[in-house]
Amino acid sequence: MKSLVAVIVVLASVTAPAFTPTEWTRVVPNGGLRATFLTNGLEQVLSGRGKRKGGDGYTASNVPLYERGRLDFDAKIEPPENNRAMSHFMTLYGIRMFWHDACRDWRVIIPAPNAHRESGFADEPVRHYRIATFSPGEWHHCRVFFDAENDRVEFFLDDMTDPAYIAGGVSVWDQAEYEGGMLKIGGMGLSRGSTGTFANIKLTRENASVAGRKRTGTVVFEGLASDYYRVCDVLAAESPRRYLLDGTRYCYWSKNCYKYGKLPGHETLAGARRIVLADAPFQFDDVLPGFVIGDIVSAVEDGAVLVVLDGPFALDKGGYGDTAIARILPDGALRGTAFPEPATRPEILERKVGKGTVKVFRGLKFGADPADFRTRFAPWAAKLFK
Amino acid sequence: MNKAAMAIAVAASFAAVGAGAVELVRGDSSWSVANKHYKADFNPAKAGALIRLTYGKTVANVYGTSLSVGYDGQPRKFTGRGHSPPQTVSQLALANTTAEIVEESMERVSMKFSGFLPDGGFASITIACDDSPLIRYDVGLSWKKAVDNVQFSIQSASVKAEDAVFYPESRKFTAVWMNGERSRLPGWKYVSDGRCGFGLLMPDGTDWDMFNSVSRTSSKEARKGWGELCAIQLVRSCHYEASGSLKTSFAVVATKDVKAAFAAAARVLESAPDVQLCDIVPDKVFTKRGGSNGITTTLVNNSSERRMVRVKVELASGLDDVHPVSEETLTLASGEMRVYRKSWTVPKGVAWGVASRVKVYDANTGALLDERSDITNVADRGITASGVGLVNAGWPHKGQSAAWADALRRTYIGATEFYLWAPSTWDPSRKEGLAPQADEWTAFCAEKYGGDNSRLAKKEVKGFVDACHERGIHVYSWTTGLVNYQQALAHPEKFKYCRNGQLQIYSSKVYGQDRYAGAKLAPYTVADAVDWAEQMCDSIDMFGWDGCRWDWGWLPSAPNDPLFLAEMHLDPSAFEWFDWKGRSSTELFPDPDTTGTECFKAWRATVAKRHPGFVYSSNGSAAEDAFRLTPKYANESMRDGLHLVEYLLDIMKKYPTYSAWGKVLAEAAMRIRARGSQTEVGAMRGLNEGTFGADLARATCHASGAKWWCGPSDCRYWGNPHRTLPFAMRFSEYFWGLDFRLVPEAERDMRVSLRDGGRLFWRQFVYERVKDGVRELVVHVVNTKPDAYITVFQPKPKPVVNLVAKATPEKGERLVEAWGLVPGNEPKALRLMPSSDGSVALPRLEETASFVFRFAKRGIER
Repeated sequence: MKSLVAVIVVLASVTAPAFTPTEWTRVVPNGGLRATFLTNGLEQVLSGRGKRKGGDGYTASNVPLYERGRLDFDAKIEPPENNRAMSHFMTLYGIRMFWHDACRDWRVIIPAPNAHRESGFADEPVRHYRIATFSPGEWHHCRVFFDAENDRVEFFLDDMTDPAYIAGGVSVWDQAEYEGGMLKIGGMGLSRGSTGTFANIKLTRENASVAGRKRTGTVVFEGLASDYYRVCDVLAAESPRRYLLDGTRYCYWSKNCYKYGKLPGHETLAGARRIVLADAPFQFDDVLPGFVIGDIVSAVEDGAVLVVLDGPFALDKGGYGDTAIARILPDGALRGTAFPEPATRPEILERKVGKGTVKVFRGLKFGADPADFRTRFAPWAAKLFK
Repeated sequence: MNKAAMAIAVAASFAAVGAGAVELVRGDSSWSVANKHYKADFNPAKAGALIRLTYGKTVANVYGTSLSVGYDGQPRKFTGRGHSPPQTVSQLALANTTAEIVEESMERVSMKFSGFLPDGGFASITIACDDSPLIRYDVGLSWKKAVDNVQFSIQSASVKAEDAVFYPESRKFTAVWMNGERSRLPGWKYVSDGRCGFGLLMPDGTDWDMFNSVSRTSSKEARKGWGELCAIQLVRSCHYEASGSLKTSFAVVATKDVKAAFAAAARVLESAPDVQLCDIVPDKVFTKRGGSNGITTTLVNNSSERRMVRVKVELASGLDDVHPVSEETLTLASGEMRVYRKSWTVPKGVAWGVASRVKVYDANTGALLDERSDITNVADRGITASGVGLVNAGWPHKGQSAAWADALRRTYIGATEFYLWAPSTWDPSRKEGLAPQADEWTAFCAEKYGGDNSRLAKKEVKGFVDACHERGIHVYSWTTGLVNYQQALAHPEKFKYCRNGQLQIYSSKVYGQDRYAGAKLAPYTVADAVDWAEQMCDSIDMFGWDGCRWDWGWLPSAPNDPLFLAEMHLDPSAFEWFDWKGRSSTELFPDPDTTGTECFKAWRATVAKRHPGFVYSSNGSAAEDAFRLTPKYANESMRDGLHLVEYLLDIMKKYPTYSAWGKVLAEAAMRIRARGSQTEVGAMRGLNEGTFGADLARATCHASGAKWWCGPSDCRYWGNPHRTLPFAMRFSEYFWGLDFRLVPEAERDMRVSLRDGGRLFWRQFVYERVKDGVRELVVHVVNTKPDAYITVFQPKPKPVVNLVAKATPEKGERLVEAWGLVPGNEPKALRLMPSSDGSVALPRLEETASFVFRFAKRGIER
């Protein structure tokens, strides 16, 4: 084991981990594993970046190696006043997470070459992404869902419905594939007295297949002209999950800059009965990560109904033609020019895809009055959402 | 001690207090001191933090009442940017605090708390109480790490807003988010609602310190009650000294009785005269020639006798032209506070900056007891001689319009932009455009600029405009070609599209089912421009706008935000857009300069026909490139109005030093001035107000002939605009007069010289004009090395004593007068007497000052 260069003060005793074939649980009596990390005072020479004080240290436990599963734990981070450092880290297989005392957040490191380092962040790990704000001194429930086969990790914080962050293209197992599973909790050696408490740590295996599972619920992606449809009002009885488009920055050049404010996790899409795209732009890896588009296609092939509502940001104008969705759309759904077209009669195009169905409504044109259109849309909605 | 025993002890202490005593009760978690004015509870475990004040049955919990030390988190080096570093502020929680009772007698209780600061420095706080309402603090601090600020504040939700009156001004408090009022040092601030009161008093200090009375009443905090009411800043923010020390004294005013507070303050403040003038408030920021203005102040008789005083009101304009307004004798009873108000009409010939002064004399001896002044100006338009600011649509709501207008007046903003207020900035159907039919609407994109209430009512918007007009402030409607996207769905032929056919969206913040993303309008025909101008005319009729400020330009080839003009030139194809039929902008508008100019002229002419005085303010580049690439449009857009040169904010890469920035800014201002317009530059984004770096940048901006476009929240800071902006406004003729021209660079050293050893920044700011046969040469001086980087780390400038300047007369000329203009509590023009070699000496240069030399032809008497 790597030498422990940081000073780790374990204030509560830790029981031996209990193993089962599908679950690993670490039970820590007296409230949890509590560790205070201090700067170790040793000088590290950092390649090309001078010297700094500090070094890392950790405590580790062997855990089963699951291809797909989830890690649940409760955590409380209590940074000292005036601390500007990264403090605690937790790694499971190749999933590296840490807590930032100064920024009061929880982050994940997705390794990248040093050349990708952002300027001005000389001491930060390369390619670290913010998962969510982590209120200091408060307990949070955390869940990390991982899928090694699909290189996917989803991070949930308190809200277990939608992930706070989804990482795609992640090497989940990394070296663990050869060395065996390991869960580490440690400190980066930069902190001066940050205390983290971790409790109810539980690693659970999940089955890959959702075959045979009853599909429930509706997921609605709302784009710019979704007000014309108000799908969530129409389907209010189903309590749909709503995902809204949001701007990422001010676009002064001839390009739109937006993305969805949050994204559904794998379970939401995999178990959805109906997925609605209401004038929802879908440019690949720009507005939406490619893997979410792939999840939608998989859900449809597995039995979900996809309803696509046309608008100035949907279908051909929404970038669908360059995504995996294009191959499941009914014939003719992407026809027409990219620019506004003269009004045509409303129509529904439909196609069976695997066990599911795709329905496309075309008929919203520029110039329509929203309230008037909603009235005219009602009978079409009945057909689309029956 | 149990609770019952404590209650008995407290009751006993109040009984004893009646005899003029002070008593200490030491509890487990608090030390209580009581006298006839208060019972105060201190927390000995937290460096003696004051946690509670009790007045009879009224208990006031006070918060944050301990010293706060804020450290800066960056090393002391130039980072190449002005942006502020992350700052860490820690409440003073002394490690290993020692708490001891130094003195405990019937007359006096004294407690001492000392310990180490987080950075290894040391702090010692002695708190003393006697039979007065003042709780005295003696503080000694030494620190080892760069300190951002040291401050002491007192906050409480126990004073009722509706009854609260602030003293010594004796004014109801108008609460505005992130805003406040200052008292100069030595001074005091105190608030009382009759049941509860508290305040702070500082008997020493200089202008560089801040004694601030601040209220935070953003909608979120207002629900929780009052925020910070009084704060005293002992070390100015962003001091940026790696180590240092401080020794000072101040007091908490702890009484609900206003008279007792006044009496205690008068005893301690040596400078407080027997009869005192509290702050002076002008009616209006600016007045038109021949118009009327006035001042309000409060006279306080601090003495124990009836006093007869003579009150004199006068105006000072030009350099030092004095115009008497009134003189009268008043009798004030002991302890009387009398609101004094005087109106005046602008004297003939008075223009530009005006100081309105009130002086109070002893009627018997003629001795000057006190004097106060504030600055206003006389101009035709708010942009001429005042500051320029902005207010977001979401701020003045829930009846706060008047408070916001007051805040603008306090900060010398004579023209304010009103942001993003409309449901849409364009609507040919006239339903929800600039003159909305509905009484209430959701403000288009209000949240983009931090508006915390995007729901607006017609009467509130009109109320804000009216409140500004009453205070001599012009209001400019913020206008842009970014339109509520729902208009784009209704009128697809009028908008811009991406190459892939998507409607172009600028800011796509969307929320709920009201989606107010900004679609990009393409109104590049004269007919469209005229129609849009008619919409603006309807809006002026409805709300009374005095002008507009475009955050957009009419050039069809330019990005919607001219902030990015430079990038457009680097890659024009990135800005090519398409119409709804897929035709490219380059194909549609082969001569964008002509198209933009014609549309722009049509818009202006249409508005001018119905509203001749309407002011057009625009943004864009005033660099030479703009006149080379789009000469017609550059000339037209900078004509007779206000021009914002936001691109000059790029201090990180292009203009990192004061000299580099001052040069390009002054030259841009000259191009704009030549076209009859004023110049403004956006508040330096990221360069914190209150830092010396920002102070000097603002002084550089004014010296360049430009205005510093800012929000009223800046008045929280002592340094600016409390000094620099009123200074520039008072002598606005010399900063912003359109007839002053930069002396050509090659001639500056021949015309004027300063004995500054090259360590002051002035060579860029040598101007001249000829008026009534007199040539005036003006030199603005900024107290920084010209090659210093513009950063928040700029240290406090060291004053320069006896700064010698010499201006050379031209052939046949003689020096008639020389003046030194200096900022201060009242900006002053000092007549400088030339020595035998013709040089003059300015007694003292703080952050900025100016020289004015007047020359006349020989033989002509002036």
